[in-house]
Amino acid sequence: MKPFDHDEIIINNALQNNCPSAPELTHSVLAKLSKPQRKYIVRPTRFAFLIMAIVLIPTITAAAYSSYSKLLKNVNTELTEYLEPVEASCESNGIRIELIAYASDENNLIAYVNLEDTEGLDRVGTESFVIDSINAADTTLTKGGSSGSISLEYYDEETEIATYKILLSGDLSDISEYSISMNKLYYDSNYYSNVDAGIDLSQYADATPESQDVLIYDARKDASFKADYDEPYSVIARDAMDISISDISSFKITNMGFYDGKFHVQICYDASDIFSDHNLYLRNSDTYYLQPSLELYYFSDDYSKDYIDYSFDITPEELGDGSLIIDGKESSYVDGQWGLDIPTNQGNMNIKSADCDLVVEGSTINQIIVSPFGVTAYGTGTYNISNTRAANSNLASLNCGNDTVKLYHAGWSTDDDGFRMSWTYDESGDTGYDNIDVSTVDSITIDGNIIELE
Amino acid sequence: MENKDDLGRKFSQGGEAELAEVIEQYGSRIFRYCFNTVCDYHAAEDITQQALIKAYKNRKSFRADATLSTWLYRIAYNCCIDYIRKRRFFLPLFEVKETSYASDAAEEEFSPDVIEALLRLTPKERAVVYGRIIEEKSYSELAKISNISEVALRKRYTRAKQKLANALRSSDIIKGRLQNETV
Repeated sequence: MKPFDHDEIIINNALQNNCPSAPELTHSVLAKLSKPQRKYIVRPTRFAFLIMAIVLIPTITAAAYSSYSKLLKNVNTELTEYLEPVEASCESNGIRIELIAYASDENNLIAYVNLEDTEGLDRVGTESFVIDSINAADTTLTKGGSSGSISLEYYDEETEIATYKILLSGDLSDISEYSISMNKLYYDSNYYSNVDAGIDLSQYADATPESQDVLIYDARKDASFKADYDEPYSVIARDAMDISISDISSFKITNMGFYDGKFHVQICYDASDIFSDHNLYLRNSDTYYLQPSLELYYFSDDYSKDYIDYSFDITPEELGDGSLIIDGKESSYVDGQWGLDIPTNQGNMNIKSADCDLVVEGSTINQIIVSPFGVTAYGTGTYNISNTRAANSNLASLNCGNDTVKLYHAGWSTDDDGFRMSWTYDESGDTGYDNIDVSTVDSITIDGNIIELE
Repeated sequence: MENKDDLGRKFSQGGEAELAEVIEQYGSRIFRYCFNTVCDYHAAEDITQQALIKAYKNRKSFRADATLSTWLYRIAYNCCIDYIRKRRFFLPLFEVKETSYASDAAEEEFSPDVIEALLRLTPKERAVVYGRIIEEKSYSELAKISNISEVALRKRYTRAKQKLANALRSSDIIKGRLQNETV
């Protein structure tokens, strides 16, 4: 055992003096043993139940095994060592989801599911990210999100079945089964990234739109903003403009300008069959890339249209000749109720770990665990590491003899005990989920500090 | 001195004489482990007796390639957790006090401040901290005792250690000691 650290010395001193003398045990234990023991009779119904349980033990069917075999041929071969076949499925509104294999450690769960359009409407295809978000326990997983991701692994054109990979990241140590559910599946999705709306914002530096009072139904971005959904808020007047953005069909800009010291952009979604979710930014190539400080959501008076008011903390002078930038997606969708229970095996995987006291951007990492799935760092304090720093692929790497394995930030979370930060061996989790032979890992480098692992 | 592995083999095939030997060898240590886990002297006494009786009754299932100490501690750990679960279940009915840890005989042999600090941890956390720091058990053995993976065990230990150290730092006993050191 290594020498005690400072915390351990404090505890050792306290507990060494906290050991009362043990009572006399030999006599009391032997005396209890000599007492007559009650006999129990196993009732026949229990035997019957036992026999039924044995008969009803689920087995993997031939069809499920076929799906599993196909999966093994198509996924990263390094991973197959850990995958376990499983059979579970659900179907709603013509979309069938079948769980075919899973593997996990205490911090990562990977599962493969097959998706099939049983109505033959081509809703499951290679280009559609059919599952957009998953409700898993108390969290929502989104593509590229911090606690998990969903990505298309491969598509079988002959059977028209798409195999998706679900990655969950979190504390799974006390969980034997992870329940996931979905109530909306998306198809024919179009993702937009950094689309310039083509609007010269300098034209709106002097714009001071009228305002009107509305009841809002949601408020985002500003955690300090305490929304009162029963009281009206003043926003810039609805439908003063009608500006379409090329390539984006699901919403229009309906008003813009300075109101109450902030620059506001109002957009309107027409009620339609298209699901739309977008983020707006202001960008000037030289001076700023600004996110909205507050987003207010409200309806038209007849509730037929949705509006969002984005407000930006910027002055007319600062606005200059900036651009309006849009990220987001538009999808067709089908509603339904899908749910699966994914087991967690948490088998005897090789791991290495280290206790440490490493400060990165004011966050103290106390423990690092390296498993075949990825690397997890734990800290008991607050998490202050900026997304930019965390996402920097040079922040952390594993040292395996003469080789270096890059680590890719997979996410972070906090709870009452502190924070947890994780990395995978695969950038963005989209191209396979590589694992490594932990026995080859000697140390980890984080922020230039080398920490030996044992 | 007799090899502990030999004692395991003898115990698994023996009778009450061998049990007495096991109690002699491990009884006090297991009692202290239970006491630090449940923070209740009388409960720890009952649990220790129960664990030793359980071990004796199941001695045939003890495998020769296993370690007697790990096996006994695992039984004791399970008995502690069972006790906590049952007590939690009956708590609303009988209003059992969490701090009913004292015994007249043992009252002067432990510090209420340390107990208060220990009570900030869960029983599972107390068990792992005691096992690691006082018993100096390896992570791998503690993982076997707690029946969780080594990863989960290390994680539990690290957090528990920091929680307890922080609690002790803020307690009067440590403050007093620090003051004395600076005088």
